[in-house]
Amino acid sequence: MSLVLHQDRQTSSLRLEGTFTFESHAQFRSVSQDLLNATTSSQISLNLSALTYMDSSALGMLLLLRETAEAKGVKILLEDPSPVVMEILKVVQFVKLFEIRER
Amino acid sequence: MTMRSRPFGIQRKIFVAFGLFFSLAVAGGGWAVAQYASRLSRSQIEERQFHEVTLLARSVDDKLRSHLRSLEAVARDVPSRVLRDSRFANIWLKDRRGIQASFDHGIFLLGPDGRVLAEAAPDPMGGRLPGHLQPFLEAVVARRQAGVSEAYAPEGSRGPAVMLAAPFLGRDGRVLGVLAGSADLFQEEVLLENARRRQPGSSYLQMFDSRGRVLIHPDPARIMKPLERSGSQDLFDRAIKGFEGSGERINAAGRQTISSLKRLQTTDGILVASLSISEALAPIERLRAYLKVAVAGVVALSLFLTWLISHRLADNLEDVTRQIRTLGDLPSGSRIIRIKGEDEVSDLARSFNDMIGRLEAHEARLTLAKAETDEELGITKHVLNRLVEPGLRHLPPGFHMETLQTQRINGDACTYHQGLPGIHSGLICDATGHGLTAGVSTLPTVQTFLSMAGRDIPLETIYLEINAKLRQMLPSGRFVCLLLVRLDVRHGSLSVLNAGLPDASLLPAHGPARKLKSHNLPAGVLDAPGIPMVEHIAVSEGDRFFAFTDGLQDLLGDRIDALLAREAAGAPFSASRRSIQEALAQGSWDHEQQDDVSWALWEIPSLAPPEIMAPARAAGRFSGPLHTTFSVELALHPRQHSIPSVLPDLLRLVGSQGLPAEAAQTLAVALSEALGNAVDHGLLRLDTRLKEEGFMAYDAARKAGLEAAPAHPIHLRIALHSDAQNRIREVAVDVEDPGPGFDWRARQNRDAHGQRGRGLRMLQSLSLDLGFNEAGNAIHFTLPCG
Repeated sequence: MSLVLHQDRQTSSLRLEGTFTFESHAQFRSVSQDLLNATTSSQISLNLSALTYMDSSALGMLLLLRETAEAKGVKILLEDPSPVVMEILKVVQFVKLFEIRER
Repeated sequence: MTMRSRPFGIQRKIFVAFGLFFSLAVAGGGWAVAQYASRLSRSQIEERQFHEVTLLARSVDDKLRSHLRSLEAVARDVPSRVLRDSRFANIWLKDRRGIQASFDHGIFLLGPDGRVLAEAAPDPMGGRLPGHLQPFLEAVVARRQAGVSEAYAPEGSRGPAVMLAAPFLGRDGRVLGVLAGSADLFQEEVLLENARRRQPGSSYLQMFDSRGRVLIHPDPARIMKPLERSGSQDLFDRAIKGFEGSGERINAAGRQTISSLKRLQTTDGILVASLSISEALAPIERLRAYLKVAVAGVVALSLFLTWLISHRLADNLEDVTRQIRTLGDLPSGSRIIRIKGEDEVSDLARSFNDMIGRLEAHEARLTLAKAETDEELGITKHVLNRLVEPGLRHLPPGFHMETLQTQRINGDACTYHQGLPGIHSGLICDATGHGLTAGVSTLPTVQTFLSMAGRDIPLETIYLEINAKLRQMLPSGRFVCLLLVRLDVRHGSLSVLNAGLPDASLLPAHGPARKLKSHNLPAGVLDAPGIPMVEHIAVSEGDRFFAFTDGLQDLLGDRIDALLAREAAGAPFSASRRSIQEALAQGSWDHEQQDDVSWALWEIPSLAPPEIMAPARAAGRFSGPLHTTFSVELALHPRQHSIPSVLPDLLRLVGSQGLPAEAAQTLAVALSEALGNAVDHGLLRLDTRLKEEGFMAYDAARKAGLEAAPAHPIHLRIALHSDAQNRIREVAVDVEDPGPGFDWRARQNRDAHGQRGRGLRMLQSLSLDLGFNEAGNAIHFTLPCG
């Protein structure tokens, strides 16, 4: 998986590309934690449009990020998930936990 | 291990690079030396030849001048009588022997008009000077000075000759006559002597005049003939125009020559010395041949030395490389590179050895850690399988559930529980992560399910209990996707709670398939996941229920739809099960793959009332909808608490929930009987036939059994079902003992008046319905109330 970080005063976003699985957890944790520490925005958006697959470990990582972010008063927004990823998010009912913005 | 051939190793690269450099340098040097020597030699030959031809021309001029001076000296003494006395003139002329030797074609006394006054010549002129010499004579007379004529060919001569003439004057200064002599240019004393001495070998001398006539040439046939134009005559043309010096030309025979040209000053003649270039450069060619041999030798020597040096330089590196290449074949601990010498390669090898040492230490630690992990995984698998297998062993015909575990366990499990007759419960779950992490999530999930499934506890409650346990145990980010299913054959109802698993399917025997989507969060995500959503579907005999984890979805992809279509086509259950298993096999499922696969296929059995000992009584049974208003579960340990001591407290508890006294009395009788059976036959496995020997013997055996009995509990659940006005209408009781059960079907047809089975018959008479699970170690009965 590759991560593309974008950050300015108004928005903090992270673009996830490829497959998001257990193998990516160190990379995701490090990048997302840095982003969370550095952000001045009240919202972090994760762009999932280029994500082709995510497994249950990846879903767990999203939950962890959500928990850490909420403790800091930051909201996690999932943006433009690909159809496959959206289906996964729907199956595990993460639509109830995250704000998901589809284009 | 296969050795890779390296046709262009570093040693060969050094050899080729330096070998080429030295070869080209030596060959280029040799060529440059040969070229320089050739140019130098040619230049020296040209200079030397021109110098020699200049000396020769000067010598010819000197001789002709000397002859002319002799002629002038004699001419000054010519007596005037020779003009008048012809006889005297001839005698006088013949007496001039001093000059006769210098003139090969004779000497002559001529009148100013060319008339011959006297002659002393081998070939007389016959009274008059030849016409072609007349202009020369006129010029001498006119200038009154001695001179040399152009070359001409005297009669009977084999070569060209020149006429030298000196006037003799009268006292009045008038020219009285001319003393002349003809000299042969080929005569030894004029030219050839010098030429032959100065031009050895195949070089040759020639002369031509400004009109292009050949005057002297080794080939006599060409003398006094025009220059042949067949060769390159540029140099001669330039010489006719005034050039003196050396140059290259191709002669009439086609040979390349170096020619040096010098004009005579005394007569119209250009002296040419020519030398064949091949002959001139013969020493250089020999030098070239020697150089070639020398260059070849030096190149060979330099190649050999280069090979020797490159071999020496690359030897250590190649040795290290060879050792590294075979390092993988060596057992751990002996992967050491032997080091030779002390250079950068040795330093590299030493560093490599250090690195290998560290890697091997890491490898050893990893191997140990992996062994430990594998062992722990094995234990986890074992525990998990011990937990789920008993349930799966009791799968009735038409029910199939299985989990294909990967090597590292990916958190999948499925199990089954048969509770009361006609009640089938199943669990499929998939925990996040893998290995122990997944195991610690899966184990409490399965355990909670198994402990609750048999007691008619709603799926919502089971889900919430699992969720609570996981939230209590697991760190954030860990959760379990699960599907709980309960089939109630008695009521033809299928209940499904999908929390994060792929869509399950209900495939009716007739009609379209129905997707059973996930409407709930996986267990362990939130402390309060909200009100669970369960789908209740009416089912008919032959309908099928198909559920699976995402491992199967990953493996089969779109082929799942094809499988479902085949299911819908109504294939026999065994064929359907086989087709799914074959599809999984074709999907190359193996232990090394990413995810476990769990799946379940249930075929709804006959909806005829289950075999129960006491069919539900229509009479006295409340016909409206009921709901559970109170339930209590207990694990009784008969060794610590006897049934009679527990029963009063239990009845007081239930009574406090509004159970009427009459119903409580019935409940006391029924509980006493059911719990007594569970202790005597389930826990202690007492043989009823002991009662035939008298109750004393039975009681003694009972007491002994209790003391030695294992500490397994008896599970009891009492639920109060009320109507819409919350009036208690039925009391449902479940009792499950830890024993192997009994064949309750065989007991159905026993003699109603025998010693054995009286308690059961009593329960039948009290209950609205009564039944056992398949094993016969769990009894369910419902008592009427009000």
